[in-house]
Amino acid sequence: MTEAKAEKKQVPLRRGLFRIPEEPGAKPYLIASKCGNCGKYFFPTRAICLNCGKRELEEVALGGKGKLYTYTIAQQQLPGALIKVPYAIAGIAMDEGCQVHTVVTEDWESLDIDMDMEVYFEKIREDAEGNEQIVYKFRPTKK
Amino acid sequence: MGTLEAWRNMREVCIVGVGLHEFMKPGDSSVAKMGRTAILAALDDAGAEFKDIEAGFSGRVQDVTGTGQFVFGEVGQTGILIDNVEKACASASTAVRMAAWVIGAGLYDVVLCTGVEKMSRGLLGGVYDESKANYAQLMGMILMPGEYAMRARRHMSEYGTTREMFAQVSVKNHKNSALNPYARYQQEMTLEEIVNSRIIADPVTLYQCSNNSDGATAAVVCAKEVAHRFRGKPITIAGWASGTPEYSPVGVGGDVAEGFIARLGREAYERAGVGPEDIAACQVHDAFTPGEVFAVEELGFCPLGEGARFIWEGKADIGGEHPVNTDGGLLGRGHPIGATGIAQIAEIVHQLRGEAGPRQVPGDPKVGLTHNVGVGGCNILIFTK
Repeated sequence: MTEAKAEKKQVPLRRGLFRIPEEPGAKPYLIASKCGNCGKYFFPTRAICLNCGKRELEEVALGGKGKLYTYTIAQQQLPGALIKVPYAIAGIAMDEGCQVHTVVTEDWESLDIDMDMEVYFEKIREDAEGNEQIVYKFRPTKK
Repeated sequence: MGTLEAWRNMREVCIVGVGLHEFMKPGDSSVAKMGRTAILAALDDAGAEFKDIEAGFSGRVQDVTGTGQFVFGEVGQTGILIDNVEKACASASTAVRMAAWVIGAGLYDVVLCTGVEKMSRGLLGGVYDESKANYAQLMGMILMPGEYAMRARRHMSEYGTTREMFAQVSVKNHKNSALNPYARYQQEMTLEEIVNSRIIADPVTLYQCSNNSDGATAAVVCAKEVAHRFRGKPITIAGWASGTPEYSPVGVGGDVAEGFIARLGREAYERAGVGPEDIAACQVHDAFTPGEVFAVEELGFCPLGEGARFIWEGKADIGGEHPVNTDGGLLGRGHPIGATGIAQIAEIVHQLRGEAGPRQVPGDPKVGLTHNVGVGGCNILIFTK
């Protein structure tokens, strides 16, 4: 007699910032709000357009690519943070025109303002049920 | 009628007294004692008594509820209106701006404003209860100098500003605070010490961060037409501007949103009927050294991008073109967050009265400006005599 093992799932560390598709092999993606009236994108998602005031914005997937607007290298460990120093805190100007705040833990030493950046997703830890908790990060786009 | 015209139609308002409790390392200070000390010092400076006060605004950030009533109650219990005011690090200047509005409108003649904070040590913003923490907190994205450091990094890239130039703000402000008996930091520091101190968020190092402190401040604000009742030399609140950052699709945003200070500066200058060239003494929000750089250029003392060079070349020194933070600023005084705004105002009052002693700006300064920022907004006030 064997015990059925609960399947390990991937879950976001916090809901509402990105989607992890059910289909195996499909990549996660950041979600933004798009205004059907003026075309502006917002991250994170929001209910009302900051540019024109339209209500009920549409949820869309971001392409995941942008340019490094600016960054700082954090050297002081924040109590309770899951990311350990040193790492970069960065603002990415996405191709869609909105901004995403993120951390850079891969190649943070090689950052230059305006360089091409891409999103990626990885496990940060497991929760109490053994599910993988997933976070988004950015890194310089690999050529 | 717009705000500008309405302000011009209001009664002239002035400050007749200012007082402080010294700023200290967080410890076992008493809010009652600190508040009482500052209030009595302001009343004495004005030549006023508590019974002259008709209304009050009390600034505090942590444990706000009931603070004003408690602190004012240390001195008297007269049944007056007392409102608690919170705008993070800009709470105390908000209290003064509220006083200016209610006096200018003719509702009250004499108002007492206070600021007090009792703090704990260490960085603001850690995660102490994971269930309440959001994504940015868990991912270490809300490190306090972060926004200032990010805008500083871009400033370095766009304008060639160096790490040493940012650090020089702290050199100047520690040199100034050594002349200020109420300041927490009484020792000068060298550029090397500051640049080489522990990096918090590059390029901001430990000694380029203002520190949680305990302290209290107070000001007696009154209608110009009743100022003759008091002994303290009146300094007029000539203009003000307050606001929050505007929407921008991309940018550092928050307290250091690009263009935020410039926009409010223009409004304040217009309401006061002065321009940047008139500002003879200035207090800006140097929570972290880049803040002073951004303020100096956005307030119009030099072209955009030149703020760091302006300070590096000594133009913001006590004897310079536009003296900034002559009493040490947040860096040199320490930063009891709810009280800082009135400490800035007190120094401008002393400068315009000519009673700043070893910190006195030469040449009889007549126009001063304070710039105070907190999560949730910014207050700029302009003072004249």
